[in-house]
Amino acid sequence: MEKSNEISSVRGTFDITPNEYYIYNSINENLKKCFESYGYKGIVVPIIEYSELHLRKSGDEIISKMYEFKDYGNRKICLRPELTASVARAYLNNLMSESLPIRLYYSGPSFRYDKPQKGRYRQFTQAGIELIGSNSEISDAEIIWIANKGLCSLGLKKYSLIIGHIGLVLDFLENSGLDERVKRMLLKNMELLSKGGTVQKIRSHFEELDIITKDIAKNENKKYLTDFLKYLEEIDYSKAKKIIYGLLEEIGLGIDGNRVPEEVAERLLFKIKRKNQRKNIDKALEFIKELIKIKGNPKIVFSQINDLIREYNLSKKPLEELETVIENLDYFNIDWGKVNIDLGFGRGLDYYTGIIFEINYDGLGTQEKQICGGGRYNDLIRILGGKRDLPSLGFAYGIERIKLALEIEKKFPENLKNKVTDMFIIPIGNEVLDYVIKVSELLREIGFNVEIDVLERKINRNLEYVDKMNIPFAVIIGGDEKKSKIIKLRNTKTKLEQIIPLEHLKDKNIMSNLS
Amino acid sequence: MAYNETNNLIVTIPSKGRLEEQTLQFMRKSGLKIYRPNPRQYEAGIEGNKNVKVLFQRAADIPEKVNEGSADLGITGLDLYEEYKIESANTLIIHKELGFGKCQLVLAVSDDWWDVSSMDDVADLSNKWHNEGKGDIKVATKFPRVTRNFLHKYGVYYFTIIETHGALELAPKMGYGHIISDLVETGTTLRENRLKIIRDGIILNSQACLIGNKKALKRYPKKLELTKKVIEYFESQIRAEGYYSIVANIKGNSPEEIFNSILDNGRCEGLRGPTISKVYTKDNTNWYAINIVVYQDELFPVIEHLRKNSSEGILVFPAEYIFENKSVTYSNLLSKLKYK
Repeated sequence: MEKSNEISSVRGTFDITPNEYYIYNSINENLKKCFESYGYKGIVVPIIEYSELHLRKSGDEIISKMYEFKDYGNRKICLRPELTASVARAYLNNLMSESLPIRLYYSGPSFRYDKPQKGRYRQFTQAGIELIGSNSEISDAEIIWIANKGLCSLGLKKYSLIIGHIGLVLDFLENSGLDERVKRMLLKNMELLSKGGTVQKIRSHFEELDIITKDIAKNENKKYLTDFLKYLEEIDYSKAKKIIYGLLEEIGLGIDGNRVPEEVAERLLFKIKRKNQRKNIDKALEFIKELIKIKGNPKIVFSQINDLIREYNLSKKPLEELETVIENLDYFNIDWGKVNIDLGFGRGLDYYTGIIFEINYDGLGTQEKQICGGGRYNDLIRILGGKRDLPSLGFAYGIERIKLALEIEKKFPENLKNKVTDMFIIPIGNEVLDYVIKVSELLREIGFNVEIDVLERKINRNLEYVDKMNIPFAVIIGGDEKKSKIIKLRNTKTKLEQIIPLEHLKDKNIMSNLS
Repeated sequence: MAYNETNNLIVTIPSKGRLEEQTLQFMRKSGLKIYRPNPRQYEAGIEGNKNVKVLFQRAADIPEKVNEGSADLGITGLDLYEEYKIESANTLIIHKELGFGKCQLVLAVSDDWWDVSSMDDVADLSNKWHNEGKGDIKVATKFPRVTRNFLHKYGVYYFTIIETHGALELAPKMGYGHIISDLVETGTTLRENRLKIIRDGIILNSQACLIGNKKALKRYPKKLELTKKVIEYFESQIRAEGYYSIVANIKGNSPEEIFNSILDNGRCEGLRGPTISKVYTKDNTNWYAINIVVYQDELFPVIEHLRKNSSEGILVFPAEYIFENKSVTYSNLLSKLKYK
């Protein structure tokens, strides 16, 4: 209560003070350089977007954490929870006429209403790249390699890479006969399973939601009903719909509210069919259980994946892609000690369609160890309004977590913040101010960063300040200096003073000897 | 922010409607009789305790008043607290079940939505409408925040909250809300308006609760002391709800004999066991007085049983308070204040 008047920063946000500003700056500059060396070009997208952009394909994990509001024009707006969807939208809005592929990089704040803790903030920075318009495995390898290379360029060492392929489970679900919602839920549960959840728990969750019921055929009284429902399933869909609708009307259960009667009948039919999904769901859970067991060194897991594909009669494409990507990564000379294959992770984003990967840093918390994530999203651009699928892929780093990791590895040069000011000018008396300003501007033109005393302190106090702030030079200017058109330069470290005539300031040799 | 910087304890309570009536009654029963010379006055005192002040506020504003510290304690519905509470704020719930103002916040749809009975149906329907370009499901409510969170929990993302303060039951028929999220006590009003509750659409079970300002209670020992009294009365009154104290005269040779005869059906155990003491009669006959505390349901069976065992003059009082060795609520409050 003592500080009840002081306004704090919003929970989950933080200030980057000059102490840290140059650290973040150097991370960003390094990454930018790395991205550009592979031909990626910068793009900046707005922080606010229509909520719809993220509702379409972002996945429950992200949607439920979105900062959402209505603006004064009554539009549903959100603060972006990530940048890939925005970049894909920006492509559709601005870059459609450009030749493919398009390589883009970005960096900027993202927002999620998360539970704040170290390494988890409500405003955080994502930096990453997107490669739009390529379906080849070499582009998957390029993306993964750059993610790895960027971290190397920062000097980070103790991270590990997990590579997976969402295509295997998508292929299985495609042919599973399950409806879209159930498929999505199963995908969502895949991660739960791989993190120690049980099939039984997921099954009972589905029962709770009434997605599957206990076998109704076992109930004597429902035998006729079962036969009837079976009949409905076997006959033509539109006929079945009519029967249901007619039935409702016949027994006086009309629909006079705000719904289209056909829709109600359609959904009832859908629900009837869905209750018989139990077997298919069990089969899917069984498959997922097998799938998530596959993890480890690339060479070992390939044969396991092959067995699984044969057992379930799945497409070989995902495995072939994975193999080619691994082979291409080998050309880049990736450190295989850092890489693991894991088919049990889904990244919590609904838009991935192929190769996915994450980079973890173990020194951060278990929930906060992921410092990078990415993958292939071949249908996102179509889903956001493009005419057709446009194979694309990318990744993003969590910059705050990378900074924490760099701190753990002590990778920062000392005193980054004090590198800014080169010279500090101490005027003696107001009458020299015109000369002081003239000199300071001259020095700035030459390329020095120059501060002037604005507190009108005594020389000694000013020299103390210069010392404390680690500014390399103090420039002392009094009446004599002004009259003789010279400056007195004092080296903070050696305490030696040097007199330089004004006309010599532009002499590069003299000045370059200083720094 | 008008922080209450005095040593007085300010309790804010609802100023309108049934919740006000019930709160006043509850406080009266707890021995905190409110002294309000003029019923339109928004400040009142407590009879016999000038250090406690009562402030009447709109129930929905009470969480904020307590949070900003213009009141130290507040009584309001858990529903309102959940809707209006501020994240990681100064407020804490001291007692979440004061036993009155019970209701449920539920999701309901028109009863001719035959295909919608569960939250999964709502999620599925909202997806379907969204995919078919039919727009969002409109949800009319007075509780936008808790409703939104609840819908998200069940994977419903394509919806628009329509915040209204009128009669929500009409929303589906009038078309400004497909679904309503509304408070129900019995569900009769919903049924009368041809609405049905979604099976797993119970957003929260609410009743009146006592909330407090953490900082104020931490900073002012006097306030904490007064709060202890309030809590003790509340808690012991809630505990006593439905209990009766029975005093009866009973004939017998010794306390043990009486104890054995009345205990044979286990009913006359009381909270811990009956108190049996000798009655010194003029004619020197052997009479004992027995005192037990029983729950409402047991009252008549116990009286019948006592009659059979030749009791007479059976007096029954409602128990006003039952104090335990220490107040659990207060101990919990102390640990919350110290360790959080």
